Amino acid sequence: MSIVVENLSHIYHENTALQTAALEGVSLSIERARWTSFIGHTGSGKSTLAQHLNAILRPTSGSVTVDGTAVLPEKKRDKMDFREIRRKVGLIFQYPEQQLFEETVRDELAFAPRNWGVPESRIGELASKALRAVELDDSYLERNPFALSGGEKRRVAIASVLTCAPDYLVLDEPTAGLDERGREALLKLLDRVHREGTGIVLVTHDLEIAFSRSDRILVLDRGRCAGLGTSDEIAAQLYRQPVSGLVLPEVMLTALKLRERGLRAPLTCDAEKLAQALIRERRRSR
Amino acid sequence: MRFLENMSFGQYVPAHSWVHRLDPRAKVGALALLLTGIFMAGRPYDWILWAAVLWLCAALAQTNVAFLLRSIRTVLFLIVFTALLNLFFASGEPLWQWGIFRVSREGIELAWTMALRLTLLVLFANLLTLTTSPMALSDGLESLFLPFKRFGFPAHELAMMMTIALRFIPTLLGETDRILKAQLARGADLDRGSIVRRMKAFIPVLVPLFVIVFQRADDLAVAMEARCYRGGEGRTRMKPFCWRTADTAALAFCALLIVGQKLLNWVIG
Repeated sequence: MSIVVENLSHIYHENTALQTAALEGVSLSIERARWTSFIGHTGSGKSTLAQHLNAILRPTSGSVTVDGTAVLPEKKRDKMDFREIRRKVGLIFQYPEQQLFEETVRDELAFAPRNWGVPESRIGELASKALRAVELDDSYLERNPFALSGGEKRRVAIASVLTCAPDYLVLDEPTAGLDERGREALLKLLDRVHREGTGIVLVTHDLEIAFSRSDRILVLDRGRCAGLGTSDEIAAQLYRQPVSGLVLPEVMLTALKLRERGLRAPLTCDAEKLAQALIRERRRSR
Repeated sequence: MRFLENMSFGQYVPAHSWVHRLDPRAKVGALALLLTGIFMAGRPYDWILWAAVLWLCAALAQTNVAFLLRSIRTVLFLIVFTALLNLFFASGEPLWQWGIFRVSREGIELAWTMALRLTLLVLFANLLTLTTSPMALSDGLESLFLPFKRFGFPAHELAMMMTIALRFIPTLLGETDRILKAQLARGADLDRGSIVRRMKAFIPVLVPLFVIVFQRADDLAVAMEARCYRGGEGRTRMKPFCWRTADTAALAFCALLIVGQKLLNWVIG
């Protein structure tokens, strides 16, 4: 169970004056059991890559294979049906609350299951389950999504993708525009979804989130892969060779500097953890 | 989505040609004169004259007729439809008849003149938008319509509306693209089924788009008020228009063309 991206390139507005290469020869493999993050500066191609994972965009060259089904460059008159891939790979865009359109939260949540032909009798149950997953209760079902607060809207929009229980969940900057509490709540939600067996792909420029949870990190720089590895490997790499626009979290930077001076410091973003490790180290050396 | 990418009609292409540098008011005036001339044209050599003028203008604007012709695609249907209507339904002595369809000599004549006339109109109009930035164009129109303000004509308001509308076209295309993708990701099926089903399938795209448009309109209103916008009264320009000899020359040239056409008709008879 994996999404395999092979030598993927994508060019926007090909053969026009506006032609721009957004991705060039990117390869990686995304396992369902892992938490993968894409990090990079604005315009590095991370959103473009994310939109290839469920065939919203087609490669200009290369391929994306989702659990054995390949998405290849578009040819004339090929009527490939990607709806199965889109059911497997849920994609949540930046500011997903802007996609809401129904009169009630119940209908909003029923939109995706109806599109995939889930019988009407099961939809109610799926909707309540998805609502509970985003920590809203059934009293929200009859409310108008446009009358909810910003944070609630976003949670309803995320729930509307969770209704179909995707195998992978791709999120493009899900924490953008949220306050500290909203951010924490959202990350807790993602942790839980991940524990329950959904592969997470997180597109972000918030390195603290990426480093604190990812099993694998892909660094993109102007459309090219500038690093792929575990968070410790990527942190060490970014410390040695910085990539423009990516600033390591303060605590992690401290830990890396301490390591350079020969101290055994864990690569963490949590100041408390770092402090305790240093205290332990000091006690041991006495 | 391909259909959002190819918008060749009415697009401004920046350059530093002689036509680009003309005062927008002169260009609008010249266009009005040229269109008048084209409406008065009727004989074969008139068309040669106007085609030559188009070629000259295109050369002065550092573009070419082939590029201009691409813009005709969007209105091709209208031109063909008008030509066919004239061909089959014009009055006159029938050469050929089948039911209500009747082809006459006058019909054939009307059909091709109409097609040529419309094509030239569109091409000249397109040459204006190609060489004049939307901002300059709406400012030019505003100052041309200013004298009618006395009769209650809202020149400034119309120009401002036009500027805002033009400014938001690319933004809204971007938003549409994004919403479209978001709904596709939720399993929306936009290009399958009957025409009614397809129209219905666009509701999930249109509703969020309307919400965004109203939100943007609100934001824009606040931003304008925050900068003390109070309408056109007593407003000055950052880049005032400056009428040069070239502008007078362009207008005079266009007027001469009309006179020339008249003379040509009179001489050749």
